[in-house]
Amino acid sequence: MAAGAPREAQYRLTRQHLVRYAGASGDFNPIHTSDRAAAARGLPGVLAHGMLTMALVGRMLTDTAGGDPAAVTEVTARFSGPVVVPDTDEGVVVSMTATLAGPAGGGADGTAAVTVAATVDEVPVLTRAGGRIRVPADAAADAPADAVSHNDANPPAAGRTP
Amino acid sequence: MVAQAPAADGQLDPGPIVAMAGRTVVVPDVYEVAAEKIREFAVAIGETAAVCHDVAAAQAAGHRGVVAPPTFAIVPVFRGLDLLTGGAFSRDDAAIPAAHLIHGEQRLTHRRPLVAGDRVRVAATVLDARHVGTTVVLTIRTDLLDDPVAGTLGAGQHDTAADADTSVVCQARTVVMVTGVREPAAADGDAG
Repeated sequence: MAAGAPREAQYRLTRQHLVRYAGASGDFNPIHTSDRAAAARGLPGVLAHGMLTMALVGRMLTDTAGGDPAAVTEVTARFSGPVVVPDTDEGVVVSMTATLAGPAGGGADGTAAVTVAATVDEVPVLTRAGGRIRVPADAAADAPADAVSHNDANPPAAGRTP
Repeated sequence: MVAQAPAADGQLDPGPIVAMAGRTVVVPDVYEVAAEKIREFAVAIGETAAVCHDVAAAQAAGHRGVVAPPTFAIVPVFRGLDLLTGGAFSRDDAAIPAAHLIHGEQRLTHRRPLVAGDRVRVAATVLDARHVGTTVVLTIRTDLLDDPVAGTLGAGQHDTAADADTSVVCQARTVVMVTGVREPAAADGDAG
């Protein structure tokens, strides 16, 4: 992937994904599953776990690194805006754009910075998001520069369709 | 760990929370990174990379077992936060219940990926605790340490020592807001 060529993806999140993530991660904070709990906290609705949104940043970095999760050396995000997940089939769509900064092959330590923008309805939900990946020197040759994936198949899946 | 019972008004006493600054806790149980837990996590986040699911693919890529997605590290990292909060993720009577926590920022830096079969010791240090209004902002560093090395360190001995640093598989920096805390009062005695 050439430096500066952004990779875009859209991830659909439904309540089902939040329940699944709660179980997988061990984070059972009820604001991620219960309307009553969210309302009691004055929240606009049930929220996606910040770490689920950040996991999608991790997927963007993995994809930018040619599909190798082991090549992701750092993931970072500030949870600046809530990702409200209504209890509908449609849920919410998080749009992400990853931009690789620096040369293929990376810097002195072989890693390169990636910045990731994440929005819902064009409103940013993360700031300072991104990380670092190890970039193979020939990465530019085999990664599409304009890859766009749409994870909005039915059933909607941030998780794999069984 | 914070020792306090939730007050009748549902607000938390800031004193014991602010007093956490500088404290290091080591989770007593070693975290065993399990293949099925990695697969479960990968499915939950929609990560389909073969090395996260298929042992043969992982081993062909030079790994001992299936590879954890990079944010999987939050699972053992939250074990440290659970201990610091007196059970936010594991107990109904936690000193700081999960409902009082808002995750503000997270960074996960990997020396190498976590893979199935790893055994890591979780050591969490509260770098800073700032009381602002009805919130205490905690900044926490968590080290995931290779157990064979960490096993030589007793609880409380872990610090920024160089020998410990070489065993750090992943280092996390977490900013978490504890909400619903009583506002500073003139006679609050915050320093306690």
